[in-house]
Amino acid sequence: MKDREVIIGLLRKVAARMRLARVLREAGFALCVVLFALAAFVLIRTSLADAINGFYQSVLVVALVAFCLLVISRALKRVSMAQAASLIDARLPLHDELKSAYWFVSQKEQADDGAAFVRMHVANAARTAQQVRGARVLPVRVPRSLLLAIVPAVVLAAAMWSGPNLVRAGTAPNVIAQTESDLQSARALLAAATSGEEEIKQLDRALETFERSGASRQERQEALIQARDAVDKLNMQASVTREGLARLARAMKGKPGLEEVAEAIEQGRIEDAVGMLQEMREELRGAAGEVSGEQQESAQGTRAESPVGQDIGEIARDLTNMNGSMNEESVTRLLENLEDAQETMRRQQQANAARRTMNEMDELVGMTPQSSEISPSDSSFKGETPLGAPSPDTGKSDLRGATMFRQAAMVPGETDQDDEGSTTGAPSGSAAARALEGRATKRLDAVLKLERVKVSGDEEAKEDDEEDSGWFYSASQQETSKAALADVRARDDYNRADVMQPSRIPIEQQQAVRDYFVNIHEGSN
Amino acid sequence: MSTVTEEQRPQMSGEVERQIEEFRDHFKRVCEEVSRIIVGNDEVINGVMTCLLVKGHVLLEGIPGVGKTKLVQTLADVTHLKFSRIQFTPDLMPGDIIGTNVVREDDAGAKHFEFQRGPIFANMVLADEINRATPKTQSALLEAMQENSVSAGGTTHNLDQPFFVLATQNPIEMEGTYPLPEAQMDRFLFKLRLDFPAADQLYSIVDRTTQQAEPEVNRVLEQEQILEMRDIARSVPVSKPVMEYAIALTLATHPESEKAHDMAKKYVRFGSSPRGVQSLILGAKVNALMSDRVHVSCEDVRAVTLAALRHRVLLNFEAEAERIETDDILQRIVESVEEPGA
Repeated sequence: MKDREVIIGLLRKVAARMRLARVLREAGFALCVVLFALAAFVLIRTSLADAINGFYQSVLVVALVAFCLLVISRALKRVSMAQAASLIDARLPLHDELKSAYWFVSQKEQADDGAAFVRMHVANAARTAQQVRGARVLPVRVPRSLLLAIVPAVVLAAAMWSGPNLVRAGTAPNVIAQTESDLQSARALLAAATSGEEEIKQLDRALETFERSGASRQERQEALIQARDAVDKLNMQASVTREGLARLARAMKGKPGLEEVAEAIEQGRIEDAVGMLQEMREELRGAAGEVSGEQQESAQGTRAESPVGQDIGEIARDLTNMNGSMNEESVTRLLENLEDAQETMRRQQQANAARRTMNEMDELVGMTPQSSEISPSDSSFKGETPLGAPSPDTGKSDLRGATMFRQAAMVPGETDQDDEGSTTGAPSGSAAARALEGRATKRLDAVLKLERVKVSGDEEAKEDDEEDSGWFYSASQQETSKAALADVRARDDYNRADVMQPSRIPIEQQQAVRDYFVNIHEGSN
Repeated sequence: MSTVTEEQRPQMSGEVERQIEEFRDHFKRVCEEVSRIIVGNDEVINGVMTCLLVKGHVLLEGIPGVGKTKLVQTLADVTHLKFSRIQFTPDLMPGDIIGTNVVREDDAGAKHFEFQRGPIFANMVLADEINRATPKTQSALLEAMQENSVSAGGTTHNLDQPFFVLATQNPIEMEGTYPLPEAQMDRFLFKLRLDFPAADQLYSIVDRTTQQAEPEVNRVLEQEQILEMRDIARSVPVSKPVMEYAIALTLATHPESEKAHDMAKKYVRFGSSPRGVQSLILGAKVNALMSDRVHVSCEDVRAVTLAALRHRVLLNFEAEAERIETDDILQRIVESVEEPGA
């Protein structure tokens, strides 16, 4: 019996070590595979960002969990003493001595009453077992698979480090910290650039909300909406300013000595225009003497009270009505308004930059931003657009609260529909947006531009025509305005539209066609 | 079985050790004596001795002149056994082997049949070129090998023990021969091949056999000692895992078996019979004893696999066409079959 205990004691120790070694090996293997899978997934997602969605992530997670469960079940599987005996026999080597002896000692009858050869065999095996140390047979080592796991770990770390767009909330604090610092920079920029404007304050409050670490998702969404409103208003102001500048440029073209200034304004070179006007003012000042301090203060006071676009419009009108050459006062006023316009557009750029930062932050925290038709890139592009041209978003933007560029981009006509050009609300005022319904309307792939059209048969109004008549949109020469009939029919206003037939009349001509038939009717009466 | 007390165990253990020591000693002495005449082929000598000690018979195969007959004659001289040699020819009849009843007349003039014993009544029988005799004659010998007795004239005559048949056959002269059927080949425990000797071995052969006096061998093993050794060899314990390994090897030769090796599936028509497993285990027992062990290991089984199974595996036409040898298949099987618990 002693021989039996010696043999089984050794086998138990070795079996325990085998189990430990197996657990380590399986853990290393599992870690290796999981890291490889994650690294491969991250790399694939980097290259195929659009094709990889949440479904694949779920599949990966489920597969890895199943794999880990399988590995755990394998790792925890019992190691038999026969296996331990085989291992010892193979490692030392003992020519199956322990395996054979264990089998004989596990057969109770043979162990007690077996042949002399069996007893001798068991006794020999017990003597061997006493000399065997479990640690020598199976030293516990770090499995190679654990070392191999370093490779996918490095790959995974590199992939995650080089692919910030893969980062989810809470997984890359450094990226979020970077964006937060951007937010702070944006706030500082806003504070330095302007003060006192309600839109800027609103945007600043939104930025502050985003900057605050404890802000809830709801608060962030509300802040994002507020920021969008503020930026939209700023964009609208900038658009009004651009329109005023365009009108100013047109008015200045007719004035001697101001052609170059007008050209610079048309081409968006406001700084050049300002420089030229400053030179002009110096010349006039030299000719007419110093301007009194009171006059300057008066001019500055006027400048702070009224909107820039409105001032420019008044100046343009004054210039149009002005007979003779420019005086110093008008040049100074013109100069100040140009500087204000420049400031307005700079503010727009900064606001859009802040908004863009907020959108990035919003994506990082896993929120789905409510898309606005004015993208940050569009907004920033406006600042780079020559001022003489209308805003590229004019007439196609779909704004919350029905805040329309169109309002500033054109003079409303009497025949305009209330919601012309908008699918969400009236073009003026701050009416609440209509709830979106039906399927999304396909955007018209047209680049619209303002054209000045001479209205035939209206010779009497020729003088007025130069100022405020007949601005409307028409399709550009670059690309015709097209919309699929199905898309047009899907619109609510199509069903409500007062057209003669479900005809193929282009939208922009429907009003003209309707007016034609109405006039025929009135004429016949 | 009677219960063995703790006091008896050391004595019995010592007795076993003594028996095993004697077994090894006798075995080695026989091999050494045979090696004085037979140059090289130590494995064949060991194989022949193994068969002798586990009540088996051996089939020796080799080209002419490699010492098949000389080996058997030497072994007979060394073991002090009654030896007879039968040269198998096509006209050899069963009676020429077994013996026959002859009419005898006693002193009173009465006539009676008396069984005249044939050459098979010996302890060691050399059946030289066994494939030259007709199947009928071959069957007579093979029946005696299996039953350890012969029947003639309605009387059964037991053969003396140890009864050991060594048959030889020439693999290249197949003209006018009667190859042994598989069922009869199965009666041999081992099939051993004597290879052509190497250059240095040839030198020794020439040196020993071309002088005036050939070396002589001593008788080192008596009949009783052989019977004792047989008992010892069969007493070696074999554990179940080792038996499972032997069975797995055997099953791997069966093309229809689930555990069949791929080569067996492709090239084997019939696998080894159950006698193959018996041969493996018996041969492994002697191998274990000669390796200073009292237990059989899988290594012992592997050591005798080729000798024990090569004549029990029947190849198909495809194997013959591709010149695939049985040994190649068995070697692959040995390499592929895992030991139990590994």
